[in-house]
Amino acid sequence: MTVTSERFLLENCYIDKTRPNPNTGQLEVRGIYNHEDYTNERGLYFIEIVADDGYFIENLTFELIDENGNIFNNDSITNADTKYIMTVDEYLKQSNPIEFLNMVESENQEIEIYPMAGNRHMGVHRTNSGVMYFIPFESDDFGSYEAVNVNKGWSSYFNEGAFIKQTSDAFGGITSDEMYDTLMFSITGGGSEAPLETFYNTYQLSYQDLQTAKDKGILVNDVIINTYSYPYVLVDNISESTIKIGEMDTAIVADVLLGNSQLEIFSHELNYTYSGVDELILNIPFMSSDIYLDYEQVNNTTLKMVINYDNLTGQTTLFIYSDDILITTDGYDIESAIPINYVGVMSGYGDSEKRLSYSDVTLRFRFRDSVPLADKTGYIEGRFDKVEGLNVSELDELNKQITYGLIL
Amino acid sequence: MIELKLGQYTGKPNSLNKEFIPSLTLNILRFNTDDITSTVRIGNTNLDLKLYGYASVLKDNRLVYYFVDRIEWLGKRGTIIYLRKDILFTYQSEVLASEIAVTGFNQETIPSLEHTNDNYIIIVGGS
Repeated sequence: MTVTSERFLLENCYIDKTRPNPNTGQLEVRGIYNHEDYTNERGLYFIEIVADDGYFIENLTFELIDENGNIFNNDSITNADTKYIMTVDEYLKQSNPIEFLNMVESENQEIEIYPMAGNRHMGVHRTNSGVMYFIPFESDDFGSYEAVNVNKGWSSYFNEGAFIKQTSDAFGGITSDEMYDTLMFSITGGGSEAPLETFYNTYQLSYQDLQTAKDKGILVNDVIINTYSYPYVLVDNISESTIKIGEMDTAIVADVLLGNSQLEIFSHELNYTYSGVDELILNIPFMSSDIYLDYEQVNNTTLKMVINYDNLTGQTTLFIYSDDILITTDGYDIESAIPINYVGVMSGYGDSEKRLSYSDVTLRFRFRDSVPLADKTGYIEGRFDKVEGLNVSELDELNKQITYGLIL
Repeated sequence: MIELKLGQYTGKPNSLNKEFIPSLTLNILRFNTDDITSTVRIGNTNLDLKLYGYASVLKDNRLVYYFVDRIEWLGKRGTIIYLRKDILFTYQSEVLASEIAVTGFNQETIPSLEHTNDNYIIIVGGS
């Protein structure tokens, strides 16, 4: 095993050699040096660069060195369109990362953007050359450390990953085990002191924080905010105020976000021509449950979502309008607990209820019956009951191969 | 003799738009296979088999495609290549002619969502 990493090259950050167990979702301490123990395992392999507390990562560069001494780095791996190979920092500076991806797509027809692995990850993929682009944003790692999966690793089964997959032209589709056997990597770069407004600028006051505030009259965080929206940089609407909890004698001064009690977060015109659609299912990043809409009712209307925050009760409710007609009278109670603390420890990593459920707003169409595949394009999730010429085990294998969707 | 072509493919494993680029042809005597998985044992070789992630074999007048699942080095005793049939690509015309039960969903990411800095909600209000 020749995997090496040089700690001394890193400033204010380190390599986290833990990864979540794909089966249990629990974070396991598992060194990247021990891949021989898992040679038959197919899963996602992470090498995660984690900034020290109070720092964020910038200016990372990589070198992958194979057994012949060939060096693959940001430049040699991608010989074209390097302007889209960005450091984590550069990507995070995009004012609207989603829009940025769309822009990349429209400029270069070779690039497609698609959901991977249950829509939890996003990837950008150059179809012709087989080169994967480096997408540093990883919604799975919605972490307080400003943790960014710069190298998602790779496995032949899921064929996912970002950085190592970039070397696929040179390495072919070998398994991650073998890849790690023959690779060295070094990472240079460092962390800078994190400004207050960072990419993951969502905080919440935990029970412990509240207890500390009550007992000692101090606040751990400077800013007390929770957002049920995307982790975007917060710039406005913070103002100094005071908070008084329970039987405290004196109020604590803190920056709080004082805002409107109603915010429109989303507006989208639905204009679909699908027939045979049973239901339309809406997924929103901050809600783990599906929202079911009547396709006939909402199609050809403008769908609007409004979040209502009740200042008195602290209750946050989502209302959905179709052409300004309220279609969810009771609304949806939003009780997300986003495990973010500014310098705190990220907890509940594997707890799906404590993370953003989806990376983007998605609409899904449930069809009544089986549909001919020939009519379809793009990405479809489904199951074949019968394919001419395939026996039972082959059909099973086919359905297994398209567990994460079929790309047409 | 069975002709095993090894190489790489472009595209995603669950995509019908693959392209197989063979770069090595091996003539092998034994091709142990069941419906899905196959193993090929080759003798001691200097070939760098790590370079190959995809394979094809001509069988019953049909090109059968395989993912290279694993390669096991046995030292002087040679190498075993474990293959897993890529049903999707091998039977792509049959698959395309079939009906799919959309047990999942046809999925669409809404592109026009506007992110603004107003999208924030207080959890702890001030005085």
